[in-house]
Amino acid sequence: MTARGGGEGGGGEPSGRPRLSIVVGAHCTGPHDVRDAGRWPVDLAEALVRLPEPWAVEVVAFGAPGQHRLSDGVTLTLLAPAAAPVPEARPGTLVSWELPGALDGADVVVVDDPFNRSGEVAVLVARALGRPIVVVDGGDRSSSVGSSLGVLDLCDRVVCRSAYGASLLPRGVAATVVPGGVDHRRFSPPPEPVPRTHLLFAGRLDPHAGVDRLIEALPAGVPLVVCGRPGQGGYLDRLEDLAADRDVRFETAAGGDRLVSLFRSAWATVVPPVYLDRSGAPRRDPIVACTPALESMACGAPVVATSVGALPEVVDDGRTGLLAATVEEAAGLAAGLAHDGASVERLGRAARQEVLDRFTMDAVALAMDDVLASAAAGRGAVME
Amino acid sequence: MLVVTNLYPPTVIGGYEISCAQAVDELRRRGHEVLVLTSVPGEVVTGPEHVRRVLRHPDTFSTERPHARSDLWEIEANLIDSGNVYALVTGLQEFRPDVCYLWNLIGLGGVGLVGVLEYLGAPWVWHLGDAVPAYLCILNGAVLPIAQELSRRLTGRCIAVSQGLVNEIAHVVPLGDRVRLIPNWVVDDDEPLERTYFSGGGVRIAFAGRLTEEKGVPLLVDAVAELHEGGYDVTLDLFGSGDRDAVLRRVSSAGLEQVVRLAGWVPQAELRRRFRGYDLFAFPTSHREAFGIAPLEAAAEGCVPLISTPSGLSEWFIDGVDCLKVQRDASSFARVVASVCRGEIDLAAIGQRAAAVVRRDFVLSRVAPLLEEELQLAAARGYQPVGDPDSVYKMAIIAEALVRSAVGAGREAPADRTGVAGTGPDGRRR
Repeated sequence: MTARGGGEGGGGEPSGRPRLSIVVGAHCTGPHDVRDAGRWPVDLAEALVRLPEPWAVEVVAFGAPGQHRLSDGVTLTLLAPAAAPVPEARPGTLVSWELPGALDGADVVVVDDPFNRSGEVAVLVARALGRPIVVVDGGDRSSSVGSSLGVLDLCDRVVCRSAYGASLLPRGVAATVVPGGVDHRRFSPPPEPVPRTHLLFAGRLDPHAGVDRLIEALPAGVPLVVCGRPGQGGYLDRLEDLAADRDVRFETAAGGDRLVSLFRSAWATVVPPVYLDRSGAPRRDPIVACTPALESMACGAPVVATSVGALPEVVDDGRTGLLAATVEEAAGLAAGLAHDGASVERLGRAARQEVLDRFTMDAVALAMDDVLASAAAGRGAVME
Repeated sequence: MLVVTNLYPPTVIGGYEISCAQAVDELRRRGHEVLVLTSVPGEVVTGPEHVRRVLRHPDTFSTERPHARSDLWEIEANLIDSGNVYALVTGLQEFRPDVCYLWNLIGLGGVGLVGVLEYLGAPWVWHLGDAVPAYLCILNGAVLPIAQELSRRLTGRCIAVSQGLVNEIAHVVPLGDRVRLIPNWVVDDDEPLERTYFSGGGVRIAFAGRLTEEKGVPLLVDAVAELHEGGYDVTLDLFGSGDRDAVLRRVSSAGLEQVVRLAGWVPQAELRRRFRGYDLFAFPTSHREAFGIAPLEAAAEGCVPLISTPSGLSEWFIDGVDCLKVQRDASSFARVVASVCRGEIDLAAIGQRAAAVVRRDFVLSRVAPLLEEELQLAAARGYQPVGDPDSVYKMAIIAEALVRSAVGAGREAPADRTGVAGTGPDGRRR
């Protein structure tokens, strides 16, 4: 590890730990559901405090104002949103007038997703406070204001969670690719074998997720569980209509433990994003971070995916999962696994090992530690 | 020093910007190098060289078409205007002032401009002749939470013209201990005071200012009506512009056409000379009046200020010694004037003391060293930058886009966002 900003005078804690604030643009009610708001940043926070030279980490999210202890060295600070959140408010749309006060003591500020409203405002506030800023592009591009006006120019380091994500950044932006980020202790194969009973889709239910085509393409008699929060208006209704006469079950409010259970009992997880949804609407960045795919692999459930976005960086075709050119092909491959237990177990074991070798949150924390330390030391350079 | 003000002569609304120009001239006369950044004027103005008329300024003072105002317009006028940030950053880079001297920032995206100075670490002093920091943090009557941030984080110093003003601002933006009270002033005049006072006949009353309810003009007309009905011989001359039709209707309905005259707008120097012909300067202004300059000018000419209390001006003068103070209602004003008419108040003694006090303590030559002290105190801090000019301009552009986005792109937009000289949303020339 290299030089850091805290500890000596500055904003460091008495213990000497440099202080890191991670801004997550989502709403939660407290420690019990903060991972639903953002699993990756919370897992990162807990991994950073396990490092030999740990950080003191404050996760900043939105909710009833207050401070909570998440674990030793990790606190959760909830800020009152500037406007009351509505149930369907997308993560990344929340802002708070309390943000300057929350970031004031940080040696480094991490902004989880800079291309949404929460991220844009967090970058502005952190820069106004003169704090080193590391942004992590996880693929949310729900606002174009910052990206079109060069918000990354205000940042010290840019991290992308995939090489594909980095390729989408404006020309000249130097990004560090830090793939992966799974809590492999929590997302793990079952201690004892459990029956595999279904194919699984896990992820936000937006049109570019390709779930509509998956439902239509799956052969009869292959159960599918669709697990995810409703996304853009009307898509879930459309999926439910499509699923009316099929063996499809929806779980739209499953928490982390239920998700683990669903992964463990799946023949495979199908990840079928598309660049063009059924309405013809293009999406350049349908999948950048691949979090559900990695979680599935960590649980020993192989992934069958379209060869879209960052998925080829995660799935090694034929070894840790299967890649397909189309949603329909992916549906066929997945249905085949439903009747091929040996392949499921072989691919699943390799997938789990791949996660342990390349994609654990501990590995991410090590990579992020270097990035954070260089930002704290003023050695950041966003533009090449 | 770099002066930032929304308006500057010849474009003026009232005493605030006139005082700004007087302060600039005096500071230059005392050897300071001064650059003024102000808004694009309503007419072509040549010179002076130390004034750059480059800032964008929507006509926030228009009352003729209030529906033309929008949330977006108010936010940009109060919070952030990236064009004005660019002008300020450019001015700072080129001029490299020891200190920035801020005046009225309403309409310029004032919060953003102060934020720029904080980010670039430039020392600054804010001359408060009105509750500007509070106004900048209010949208649709609600205080924006950014006021708390302003209060907590500002590092510059403030000059306020009255404690009442400080108190009013403190409801929104507490200024803490970084405020110094320095009164308004009149320009020095060594001409001997030769004048007469009421000694029977009619009492001559003057008023000067905007002809509005806030300034107390209807109240004053009602007071004169009471006096007229009571058989007292008084005349009232109203100098200034404003809602003339409303005043005329009130005067007419009270049958006071021969008693109350609308004297129109008169140049400041000429007006001051004319005050010698009046016994009383009636100033029944709102308690929110920070510090009226017209009664100060009248007092300098021995015209006794008859002022409502509380008000900013009343903090600086003593009832019965160098002014007359009354509650702000028509009957109270009428009672005092009636006393004058009955010869119960020695106007000459009060008027001469008022003139002496103003010519000694409230003249620019006396106040300017106090301004210099504050400016030098701020400048001594030096630059303590958080970041660089490039990033602060980038931040301003993004912040402006974010507030536009937050308000909604489809909402009514201001007409005067082009920087084209001098017209407001109503097309009225400033």
